[in-house]
Amino acid sequence: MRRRDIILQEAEKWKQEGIISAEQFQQIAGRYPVLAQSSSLPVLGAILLGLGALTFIASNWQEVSPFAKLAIILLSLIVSYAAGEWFRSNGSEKIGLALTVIGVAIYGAGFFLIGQIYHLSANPVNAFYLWFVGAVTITYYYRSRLLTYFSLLILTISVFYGVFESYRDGLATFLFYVLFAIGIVPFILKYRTATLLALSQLLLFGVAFYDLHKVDDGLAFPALCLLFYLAARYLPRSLEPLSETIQAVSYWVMIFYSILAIFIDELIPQQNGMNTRLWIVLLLLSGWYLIVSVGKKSLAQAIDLIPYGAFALLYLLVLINPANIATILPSVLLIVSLFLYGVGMVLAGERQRNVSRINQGAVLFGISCFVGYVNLAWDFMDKSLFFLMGGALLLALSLLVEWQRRKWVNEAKGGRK
Amino acid sequence: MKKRLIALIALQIILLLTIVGKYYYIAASGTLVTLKTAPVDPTDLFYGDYVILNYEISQIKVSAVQHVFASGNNVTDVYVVLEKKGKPYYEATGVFQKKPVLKANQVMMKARVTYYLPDEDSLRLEYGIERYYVQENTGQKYEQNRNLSLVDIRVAKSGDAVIEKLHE
Repeated sequence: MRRRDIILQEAEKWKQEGIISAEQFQQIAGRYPVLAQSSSLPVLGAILLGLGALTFIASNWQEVSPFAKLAIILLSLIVSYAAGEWFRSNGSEKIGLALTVIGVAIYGAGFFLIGQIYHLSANPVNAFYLWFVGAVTITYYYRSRLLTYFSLLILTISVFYGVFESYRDGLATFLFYVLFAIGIVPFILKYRTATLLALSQLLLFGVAFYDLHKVDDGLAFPALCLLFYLAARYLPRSLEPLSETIQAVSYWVMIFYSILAIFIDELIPQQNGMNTRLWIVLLLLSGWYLIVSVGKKSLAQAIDLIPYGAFALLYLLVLINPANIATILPSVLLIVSLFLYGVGMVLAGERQRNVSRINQGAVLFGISCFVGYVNLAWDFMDKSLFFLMGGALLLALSLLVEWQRRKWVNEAKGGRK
Repeated sequence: MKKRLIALIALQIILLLTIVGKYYYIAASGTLVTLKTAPVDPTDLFYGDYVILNYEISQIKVSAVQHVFASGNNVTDVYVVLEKKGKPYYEATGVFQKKPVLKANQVMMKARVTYYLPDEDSLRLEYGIERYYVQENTGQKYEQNRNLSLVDIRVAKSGDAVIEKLHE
């Protein structure tokens, strides 16, 4: 229930009980005016309408002549943008914005519809890049958050096309990072929203994971995560919550990467010259991070180095004894590191009185227990028994962790008073 | 402020029209070339229905034609030389990394290397004319007609090509 409703409900009672007069009730009600409804329904409705029109045109227009089709595309493009601007300057900002989004959608669809009219099948990644550029310029013009998310979505789809349909050549790869830098980063800095940053960073890391995997097998990605994590500490305080978000995304991506490495042997660092250099880079970054943590007397934060340490150690083991490493050892090492990291996060969270850190640690603790179970039990257990026990373990874990988590959180909160 | 918006929209329209203009330029000025093909039918979320045209020249046995290119992984774009030799359609006679000098009876097409398997002597190419859009749910008709058929295309001097029509 909204604050206004609660207050008015109470005031109604006071009025009935004679504590306040009807006049005073009106005065109180006047203090809490009904805020303009900030519903996103018209936006959603307009977008669905636009998409519906586009797909209808795309699937039913064989009879229409090419020039008429072209005219439909260009006219609807102009009309959407013009209507968007008109509604905006006449007070209906939301509807105006929705129409502008449709305009951007029609512009992008234009590439594909024109391709369809003339049976062209050029590289779709280029079409998405041109779409993105158009979307970003309009976003710059209107300075709108919604349009920023829309641009991000377009760039994300371009990546999916590039990766899954193998259209991702050197130029497309290079252009992705350029477009990300000029089309997304300025808006992250402008809006400073955790959601936008987290989504963008996930996209960036996803692409980097794909690209780095082509150059090296295992250490480049952890080094990148650590670099971001470290760099985030140097962001000015005025830019919060950016620094916190970058760090959180970085370590969660690193945790996810460790889990992947547990199940996919390819990600386990192998011995070759290139990796030695990356290994040193990883150690240097870790050392740098440790020095910063000690310098700021926030040793509790140094536990974030645990998953990186695991990878560094893994590489050392492979280097010393490449032939005799049992296949199970790397996974065990990584599982133990996740487990320690989870426990470490909770303990550090308690020391720092940081509730969100305790919560994340508890989640990670549960995840690492479960990953350990899956990894160790999958090979030699009957599958139905495996799922049965897995389910039971997961339930027991979630109950236990939740119970323990509340205790930790309460202690941390209690300690604050 | 409004002028800037109009400029942005105009740019978008110009960009879209450039693609159309390029098509009409190639269709009007290009050399008529007939190719042999077998269609396959997929669907794409963003495009609606189309049949994929699998040309005879999409898969080239490198040893069977003139060729000058490095066998590394970084070859992405090549020029394919086509010639009409007695059959009703053009055949590939050469693959080059640099723009070749053409004889009078030859045409040249730009292509993108999808993959190259040196051991199997197999080069897979894409020309940007692999999709032929059809009314939704009619792709099956083309697919069932699996016999090799003929496609007319127009090829510009630059090596870019567009589809003119499918022989039924």
